Amino acid sequence: MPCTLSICTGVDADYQGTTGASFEIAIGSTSGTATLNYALYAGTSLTSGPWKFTIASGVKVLTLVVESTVMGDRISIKEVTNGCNQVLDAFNYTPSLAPEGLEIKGL
Amino acid sequence: MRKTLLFLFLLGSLAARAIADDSSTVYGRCHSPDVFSVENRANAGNLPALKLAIGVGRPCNLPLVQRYVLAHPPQFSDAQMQQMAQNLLTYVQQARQDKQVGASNNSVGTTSLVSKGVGAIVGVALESGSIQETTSGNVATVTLNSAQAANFLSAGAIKPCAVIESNCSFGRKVLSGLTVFTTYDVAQANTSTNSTAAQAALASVVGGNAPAFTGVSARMDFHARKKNVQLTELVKAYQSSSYLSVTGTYASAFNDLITSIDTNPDYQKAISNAIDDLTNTTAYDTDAKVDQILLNLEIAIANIINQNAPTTAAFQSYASAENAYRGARDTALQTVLNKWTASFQYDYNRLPNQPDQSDFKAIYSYRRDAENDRILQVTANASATIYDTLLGSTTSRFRSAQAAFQLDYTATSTASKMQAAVSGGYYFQYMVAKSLLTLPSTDLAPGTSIPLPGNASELLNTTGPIHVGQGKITLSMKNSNVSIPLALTFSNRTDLIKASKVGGNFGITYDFSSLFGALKK
Repeated sequence: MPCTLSICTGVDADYQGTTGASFEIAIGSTSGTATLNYALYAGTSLTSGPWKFTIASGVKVLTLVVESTVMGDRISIKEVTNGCNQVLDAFNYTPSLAPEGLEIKGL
Repeated sequence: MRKTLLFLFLLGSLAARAIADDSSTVYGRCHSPDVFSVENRANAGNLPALKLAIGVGRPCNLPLVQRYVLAHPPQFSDAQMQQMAQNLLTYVQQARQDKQVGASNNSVGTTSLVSKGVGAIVGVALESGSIQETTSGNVATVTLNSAQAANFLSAGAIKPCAVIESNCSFGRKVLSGLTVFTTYDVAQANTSTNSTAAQAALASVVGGNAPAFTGVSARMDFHARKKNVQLTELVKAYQSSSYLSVTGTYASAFNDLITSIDTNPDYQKAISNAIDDLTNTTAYDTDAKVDQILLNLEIAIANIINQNAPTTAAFQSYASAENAYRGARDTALQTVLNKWTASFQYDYNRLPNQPDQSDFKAIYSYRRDAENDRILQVTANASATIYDTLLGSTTSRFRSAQAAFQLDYTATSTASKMQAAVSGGYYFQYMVAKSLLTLPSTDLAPGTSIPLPGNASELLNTTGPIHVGQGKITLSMKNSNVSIPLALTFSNRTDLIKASKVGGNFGITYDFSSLFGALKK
């Protein structure tokens, strides 16, 4: 299944998709101890899965608060809409990191 | 004075470099070091990865911008910074003035330091969480956490050691464990002749016009981390309402800040310029040139934050929410991750019309979660008090000693129909000379869950040892309000026993009221 989000070629956003389409987020990590604790997008906040959102018009920030117990743990932010699997971003965990903020443009 | 200030700042800077764990991190590279290689910069197919790596929304990029902003505050000139440091030092000097005896004032009030409109460095330190002030009755307590202070003074280079962090450096562990408290009596007059500005700075911190110094304490905390913590325990901790409430504010503040930066045309222009500069570098260009391009982008984003009022406000809200989030995360995780905690504390007390006293305290706390629900919690503490001066009397320098022990154990699993909780407590106090001893009236013996009777608030004839102990078992049926607590209390003073039946120095407590209440229904 194709994913909902695609790379945005402009400098105004990281990813883009059709306004009104839904997308689902998941995380993975090398240690297996990473947790997605909070997600916020276009005024909708979630504190537990499934982490599903609907693409809003214009550029909106998808904010994800992720924690792990292993320093340097490689964390992947993935889109898993309808069983697709696309890595949106990946980073090494430290406790002083800010949340992940992906800019998503609704077309 | 100026040389001393310069020396202190130099020392602080050197210490910051020695303790900081990530001082060499570069904007963008912290996210994806490989994407900036010559091959990847020249490959058009890697442009999306390059753009993603330099976005301000990446978790490691914003903290670097934040550090740059904090290290280059535009609102203070060098002269202003010097004046702030001067005010702070004068404030410290004034705080050390001897306490004078004055009229008492029993009114209880609370003072918000921020609401006093404190400017300069003290106000900034408060906003950063380096200094906190609380007032209870006439006593104002100023708390300085050394890790928060180091974080503030190093402009974010030295982060406090988080509970979740397993590889903290020794220096950061020491800073994070050390907390200093100073107390002031806001009802006492201070005869200091310091400058009006210094008096105003002090008054703004402790809420009185000329408060008097009454004591200082230093506490050092040590923790041992549990091994093999289950993921389910972490998830449970992260689902607590107190954590999620603060996290919601934190995520919202971050969202607003990134949105504010991202919608600024200068930001998009800076990103576009950085991509052009990076892709135009050649194989002959060194990493230093790439790092300079990335640093220029970091500075451009910092300038956007500093030069646009709405973005500056969003940044300040985020910095405040971030501090609160780190605290909430530590609170949520400390019982899950910490196996035991030990604390050592020293208190210097300056009491009116009495010799100065020093207290030495040690506190130990242990928690074990067997099968996730049979919880064992043990706390023990001990302290000793000495007179710093005897004022020519022949009284012993050693004043008193106290010790307390408390054990709580959930003996049955949560699945069991019959629930049993066992607890035991013991309190000991030794007084060298007769003195009026004050215990918390109708409350608990210090450091234990042993209830005290109402007439135990003030004890006379206190020379020698005082013992109070209690063993207790509480039986209850699951999903019912019925519980049967049985307790055996002993003490060498019967006026410290709160029990239904007292024989000799023993008392038995039983409470069937809840059982009878259930039968009546």
